[in-house]
Amino acid sequence: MTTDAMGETAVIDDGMTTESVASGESDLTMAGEHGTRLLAVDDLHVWYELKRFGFAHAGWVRAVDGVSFDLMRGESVAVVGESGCGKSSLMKAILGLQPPTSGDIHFDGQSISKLTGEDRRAYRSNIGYVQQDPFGALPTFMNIKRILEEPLIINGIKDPAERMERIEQALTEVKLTPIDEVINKFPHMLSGGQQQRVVIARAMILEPKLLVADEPVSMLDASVRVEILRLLRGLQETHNLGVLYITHDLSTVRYFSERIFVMYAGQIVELADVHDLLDRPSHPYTQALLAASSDPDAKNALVMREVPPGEPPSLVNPPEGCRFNPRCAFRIEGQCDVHIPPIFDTGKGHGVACWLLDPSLNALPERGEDGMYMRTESAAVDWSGGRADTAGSEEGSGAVELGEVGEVGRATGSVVSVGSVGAFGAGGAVGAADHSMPETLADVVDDVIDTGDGIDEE
Amino acid sequence: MSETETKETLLQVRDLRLHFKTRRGMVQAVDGVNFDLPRNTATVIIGESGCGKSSLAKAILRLLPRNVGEYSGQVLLNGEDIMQLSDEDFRRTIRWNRISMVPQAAMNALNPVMRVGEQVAEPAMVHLGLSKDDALQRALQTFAHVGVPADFLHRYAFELSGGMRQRAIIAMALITEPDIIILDEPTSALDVLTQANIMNLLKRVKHELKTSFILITHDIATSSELADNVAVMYAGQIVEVGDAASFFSDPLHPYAQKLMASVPRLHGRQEPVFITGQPPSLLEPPTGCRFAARCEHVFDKCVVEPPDFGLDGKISKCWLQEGLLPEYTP
Repeated sequence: MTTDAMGETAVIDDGMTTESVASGESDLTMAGEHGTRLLAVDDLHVWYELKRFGFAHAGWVRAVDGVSFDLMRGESVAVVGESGCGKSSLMKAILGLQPPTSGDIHFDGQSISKLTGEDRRAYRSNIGYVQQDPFGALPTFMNIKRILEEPLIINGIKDPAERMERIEQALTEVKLTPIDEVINKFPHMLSGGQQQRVVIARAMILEPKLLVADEPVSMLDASVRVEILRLLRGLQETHNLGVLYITHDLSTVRYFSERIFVMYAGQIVELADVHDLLDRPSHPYTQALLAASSDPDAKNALVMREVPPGEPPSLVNPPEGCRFNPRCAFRIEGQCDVHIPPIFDTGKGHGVACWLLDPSLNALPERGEDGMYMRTESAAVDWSGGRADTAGSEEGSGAVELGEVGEVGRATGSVVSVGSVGAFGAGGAVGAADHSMPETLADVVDDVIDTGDGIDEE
Repeated sequence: MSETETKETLLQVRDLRLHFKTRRGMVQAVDGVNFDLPRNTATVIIGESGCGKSSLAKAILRLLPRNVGEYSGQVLLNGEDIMQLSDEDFRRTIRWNRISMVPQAAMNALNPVMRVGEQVAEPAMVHLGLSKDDALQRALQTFAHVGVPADFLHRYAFELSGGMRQRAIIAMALITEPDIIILDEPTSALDVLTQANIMNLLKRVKHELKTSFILITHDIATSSELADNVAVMYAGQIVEVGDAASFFSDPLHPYAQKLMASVPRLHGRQEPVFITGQPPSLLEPPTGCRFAARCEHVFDKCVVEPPDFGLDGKISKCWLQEGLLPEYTP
C-alpha cells in the first residue's frame, strides 16, 4: 500500500516550506465544498522580539513561522499541537490581538492588517471567541445578563428591549434555561458546563461568521465534553459558521471538525481530512501523537507508550531543516537536518511536510497494521542522535542506551518502544545511583512490556 | 488480572465518611466508601468533578480542613486501623512514611525560590530524620528513578519544563519509599506526549519499586494506562468496583456505562453520548439511589431505598444487579 501512496505523491511546491501552501494555489487549501472562502492565512509569521537589558535586540521567538491555510464558510478546522507550538499565537493573530510580523490574513476577502479604528472593531465583531477556562473567562462580579449585554452595548445596540431579545435568543440557542432564572445568576453559581454555555452564548451574541474555540472542553468533565462539542457543532451547522478549533486532544477532533492541521514548532507539519489523518497519519510527529494517545483499554497498562525523546525545540534557534528531525526516528541523514521539507501532497488534500513523502528519495517506510511506519533496526538506533544535552532535552541523552536494547517490536495498536523506557534512564544518573531496588533497564523492559504479538522489525 | 486477586491486601477502606459543615448544611463529600487496594497494584478512582474523589484522598491521608462535620469509618493499612491513631502519630508514622500524595497541580506549587533538589529532599529530612547531605544524596537516587538528570538538583522550578516538574514532584512523593502513593490528577495539565511519558514513568516505578498507587482522575483513557482495579465514584459514593480488564470492556453500573460511552474514541466509529442532567447536590442527596434521576433504567425501588451491596457485589450501588443488569453496548 505504501507504493500506491508514493505513486500519487507530488511535490506541490519546490520552494521553501514557508511558501509552500500559498493560498488558493493548491488543492491542499481548497476544501471548497462549503462555498466561499472565509479566512485566508497567507504565509503568516508571528515573531516576538527578545531584548537584552530591555532594549538591545537579542533574537526572535518564532512562534508562528510561515503558516498558510484557507478556511471556508461553514467549515470546521482543528488545529492540533502541543503547548508552545504556536497555536495560540496563530489564534491571536486571527483575532486581531497580535499584529503579524509578516504575511497577511484576509477575512471575507479583506486584509485585516490595514484595518483601523471602527473597521477593526467591526471586524472583531465577526469573530466569536470561546475561551479555554470558562470560569476565568467570565467576570465574577457581573451577572449573566450583564455579561451577555456588554458586547451588544459596545456594538451600539441602544434599545434595551432588543438587547434582551438577543440575550434570550442566545441563551435559548445554548440551551441554558429557564432564562429568567439564569440571567440573574453569577458565574460561580453555575456548573462548569453551564459556564461554558454562557461563554459560547457570549461568543455567538454578535452573530459572528467565524468562531475561534481555544480548547473549549479541556476543563470539562467527560460527560459534559460531548454535550458542549455537540452544541458547538449544532451552532456551526445552523449558522453556517467557520470554526477554528484549537486543541491538543486528538480524540475529540473527529466529532467536531472536517479538517485537521497538525502544528509543530510554529509550522504546520500535516494537514488532511480528519478521517484520513487518523487512519493514515503520515508525518512522524503526527504518528507520535497518535501513538501516545489511547482509548480506554485494560491492555494499556501492560505496554509502554512510545514517546519521541527530547522536547519541542526552542523557537529562538529552531533546528536546521525539518524542525522535528532531532527527535525523529526516521530521519534521513544529510537531508532532513539540512533542507526544509516542502508540503508534499499525497492525494485527497492530504499534505505532509516530511521528506519521507518525497517520491524522488524513495524513503517511505513500510506501514504496520495500525498505519504507523515500521522502524528498521538502524532507524531505531537513530533515536539516540540529535540533540545536545541542553536544559529540557535530557530525555534525548537517555535514549542512547536504548539502541543496545534494540527495538522491542510492535504490538498492534499500542506500541512498545525502548525509546520511551530509556527516557527515564536520563544519562548517567542510573549508573551513579546506589539504591535499594535496582533492576537493569533490560529487565524492566522485558517484564513490563508484554510484547504480545509484536512484529519484529525487518 | 487473576494475579491481583491473590495478592495480599495492603489498604482496606471501610465505610469511610467525610462530611463538611457549611452555612447551607452538611456536604456529604465522601459518604460510605469501601474499597481494597492489593499490594503493588494501582486502583484508579474515576469520577467527575464534585463527586468527592479529591476529598476521598484527603480523608485517607487525614488532610482535613477545619469545617469537618463527620469523619468516620475505617482505613486499614496492613490490617491496622490508622483512623485510631492520634494526629501526631498519624503525621509521624503514616503520612509520607507509609502513604504519600501528589496533590492536584502540585507541579505548579513548587517553591520558586528554593532549589528543586532541596524541596525533594525535605520529606526525607523531616520524616526519616536524615541530615541534609544524606537527604540530598537520596534525592539524587530518586531522581534517577523518575528520569530527572542529576544536575537538576541545583536548579529552580522555573528552569524545568512541565514534565520535569511533574517528575520532580513524583520524586518527592517517592523519596521516603512509601507503600502507597496517592496521585490526584497527575497528568491533567500536561501535553499528550508528556502525559504518555509520565504514565510510562508510573508504570516503571510500580514495577521497579513495588509501590502501590491510588490514582484519582477524570480522564478515563489515561487511567487505563495504570489501572489494575477501577472504582467509579458518583455523588460521594463508589458505585462500582472491578478489575480493569472487566471494567473497561464491560462496565456494569448504568452510570459507569454512560461514563465509558461518553469517552471520545480515536478508533472505532461510535458516537460518544452525554449524560443528561446534573449530579445531585451533596447537601441533600436523594434518599434512594443517587443516580436515579439521570438513570434510564430507574424503577420504583431506586427512588425509595438506597442500594448498598457493600463489597459483596461488583456494583455496590445499584438495584439492577439483582438480575436485571443492562447490556453494555460500546
